[in-house]
Amino acid sequence: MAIAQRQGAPKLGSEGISTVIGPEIQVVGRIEGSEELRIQGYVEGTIQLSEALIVEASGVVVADVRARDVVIAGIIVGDVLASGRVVLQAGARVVGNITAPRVSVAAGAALRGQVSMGDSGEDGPAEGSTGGRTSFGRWRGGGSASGGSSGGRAPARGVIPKITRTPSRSAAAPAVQRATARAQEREDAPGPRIPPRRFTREEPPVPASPADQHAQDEIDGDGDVGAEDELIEVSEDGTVTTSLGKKQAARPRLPVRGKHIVEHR
Amino acid sequence: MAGTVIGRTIVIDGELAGDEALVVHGTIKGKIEVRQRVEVAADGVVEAVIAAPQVTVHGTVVGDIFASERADLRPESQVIGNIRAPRVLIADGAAFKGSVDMGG
Repeated sequence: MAIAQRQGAPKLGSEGISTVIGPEIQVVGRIEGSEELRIQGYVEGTIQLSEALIVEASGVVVADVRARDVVIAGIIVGDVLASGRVVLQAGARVVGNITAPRVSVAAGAALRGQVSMGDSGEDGPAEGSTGGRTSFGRWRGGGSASGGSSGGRAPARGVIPKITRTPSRSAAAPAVQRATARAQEREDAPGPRIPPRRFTREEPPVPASPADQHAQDEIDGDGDVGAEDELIEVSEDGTVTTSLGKKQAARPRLPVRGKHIVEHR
Repeated sequence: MAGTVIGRTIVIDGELAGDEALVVHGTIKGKIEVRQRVEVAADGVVEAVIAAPQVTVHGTVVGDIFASERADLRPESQVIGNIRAPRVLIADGAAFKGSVDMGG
C-alpha cells in the first residue's frame, strides 16, 4: 500500500478528489477513467484506467483490468494488463493472466494464471484471445524458438524480391512459382521444430456473470480456488508451492491449465 | 467523508448498488440504487435512474429520481426527469424539466 499512497498523494493534493468504491458498494458494468481508483467493494465488468488501480483487502473485482499500475490486496478474477507494474500483496488472490513489465508477488499472495513480463502491456494482449496468446507465446518461447521462427522467415523475404527482379517476368513465372514454393517450404520448415504450443486451455479469460459469482464464492469460501484448479501459494517463507496436491496426485498430470511462468529480468 | 466517491474523470457505465453514501463527481450511466444518500456534485453527471433515501443534486441528472425521504435540487443543478419523493426541494436557480410526485 505504500506504493499506492505515494502515487495517490500528489493527486489528492491537486484535485482533492480520489475515487473510492466503498466496501458496501457493488458496481456492475464498465468503469473508465484517468485517475486513481480504489476498490473496497465489489466490481464486475471491465475497468480501464490510465492511472493506478488499488484493490484493497476487502475489494473483489470480477473484471478484466487495464491500468497503469495495479496494486492488489484483495481479489481479482480476470485478466490484468498493466503498462507499469502489478503488485500482489499478502492476502491477494488473483485468478487470471497478468501482463505487465513489472510484476511482484508477495509472500501470502495466491495466483492462478499466466504471468508475462517484459511486455509493455500496451501492444495488444488484451485484444482478442489469439493476440494474447501469440504475445504470451513469444515470451514463453524464449530465445531458441523465437530465433528459429524469425530465422525461417528471413530467407523467405530475401528470396522473393530477388525473383521479382528477374528481367523477363513471363518466362520467369514458373521459376517464381518453384522458388516461392521452395521459400514456402523453407518457411514451413521450422514449424515442426517448434513444438506446437500447448494452448489447449480454452476457458474464457473471464467467465460469464453467474460463473463469476461462483468463482468468487469459491475464493471466499475457504481461500481455495476451485477443487480441481491449481493454485500457487507463496508461503510466508517465500517458498512457492502449488495446491494441486495429494488428493489429485493419482490423476495423470495434464498440461497445467495456464502455465505459471514468472520470469524475472 | 462519504464512503464511495466517484472521481471527476471516472465514467461508470452500468449499475451501482449498495448500502453506502455516494458522491458523484464523475459520470454514471445506467442505474444507481443505494440505501444511503446520493450526492451529485457540481461536476457530476448522472444519466441514470437514482433510487436512494436522499438525493442531492448540484450537478446534472438525466433520469428519474426516486427518493424515499427527500430530493434536493440545489442552485446550478440541472435535472431532466421525473422526481418522486415525499419532500422535494427545488432551489432558486435550479433547472428542472419533468414531473414531481410528492404523493408519497
